[in-house]
Amino acid sequence: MTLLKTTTFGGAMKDNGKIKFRLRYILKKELPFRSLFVCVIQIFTFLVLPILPSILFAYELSCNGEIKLGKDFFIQGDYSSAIYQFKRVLSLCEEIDIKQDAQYFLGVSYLFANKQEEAEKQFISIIEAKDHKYAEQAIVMLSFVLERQQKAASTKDYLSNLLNYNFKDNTLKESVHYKLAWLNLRSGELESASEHLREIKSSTELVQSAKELLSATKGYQELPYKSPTLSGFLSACMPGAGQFYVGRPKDGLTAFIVNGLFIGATVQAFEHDQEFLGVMLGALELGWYIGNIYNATNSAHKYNRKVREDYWKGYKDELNLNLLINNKGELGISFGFKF
Amino acid sequence: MERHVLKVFLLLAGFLLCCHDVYGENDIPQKVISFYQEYLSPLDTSECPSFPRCSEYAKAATKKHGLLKGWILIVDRLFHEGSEELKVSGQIINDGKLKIYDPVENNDFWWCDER
Repeated sequence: MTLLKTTTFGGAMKDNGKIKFRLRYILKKELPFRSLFVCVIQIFTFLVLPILPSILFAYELSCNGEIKLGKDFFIQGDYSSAIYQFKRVLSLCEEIDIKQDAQYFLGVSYLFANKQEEAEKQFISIIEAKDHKYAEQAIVMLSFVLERQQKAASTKDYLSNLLNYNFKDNTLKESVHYKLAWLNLRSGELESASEHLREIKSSTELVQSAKELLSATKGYQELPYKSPTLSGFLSACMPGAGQFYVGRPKDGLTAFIVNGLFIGATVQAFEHDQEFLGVMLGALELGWYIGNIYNATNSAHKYNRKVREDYWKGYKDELNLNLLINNKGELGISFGFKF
Repeated sequence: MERHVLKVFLLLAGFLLCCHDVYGENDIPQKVISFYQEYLSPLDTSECPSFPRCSEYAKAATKKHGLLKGWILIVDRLFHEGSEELKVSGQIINDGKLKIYDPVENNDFWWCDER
């Protein structure tokens, strides 16, 4: 027992010394290194590892995010921000797919922001580029630029020429027919409008609208139009009468009074042998008189235009922007182009 | 009376020819309108209810169609610039005010080919 005790005690003493040494070692050397190692591993595991893919693929993510942000601006109708954003993508990103997206949407944003010259340049650059995935869409988009520049006749010509173009996507060709049909309806050319509408067969988005429009053309001819010829004739017989006929009594009264005064003054001048004054007044009156006839005819045309526009207002006069994008529904919202 | 009517026509034709000869190089109608815009228009406090205002419209009309047709268009504009135009034409905000949008294209669309 004594031996054991001694041994144990002695062992304890020895152990005590070892522990102290060990503790000192741990405290001085081992602990900091191990703890630091554990800390580093933990930081790496819990903090760095989860975001490692984002760090590695940061470039790609930012490009996709940037273009999405641009489209979001576009959807919200903030076209100037969208333009800025798409320009940013063009300068930041190198990937062809994303660049082509940005180029096309930059053009569309210009169009919506009413910057027609820039839009025109943008679409032409897309058309001229080799193997651009939006080349066909850009060709159709150019017609919208022409239309917004209020060149109805040029738009018609341009679209008619487009029908000879061999589109890969038949939907685009049908959208050209649809747009032409609308332009013809607006100008009252029902026959050619109907012909274009009948060409729309395969595009599900347009077929229904085309059918509705075709049936609507029947009621169109019975609208309460005013005859421009009759209106002009009435005003030629009596200044202001044509204006009354088209429902503009104030204009009619003005035309009647002004013409009456000038005719009266001219006659009076000649009756009092004031030839020079008479000639001057007569010249002025001639201007008022012709202007009065023109005004009556013009008013009838504008009245008819309004009647036509009101009639078509009830029908879907929009072309879905998604039709003009490769991946349908990409934006998640359908945009309408007003014709 | 016939003699007087002939005089009126001659005067008018002479005036138009005179302006038309120099039209382009020394644009008299445009200069007259510019003079009006600069010196006379500020004296008139009433505001044109349409956009573009009548003098701008006159400039655009004579530039687009020449003096003869331009003149007729100007007279037409003077007749129709009242509230009745609102029934058939759109509106536009200009200088913070709502105005009738009535450019030349709004009044020659039925005979003028834009091409």
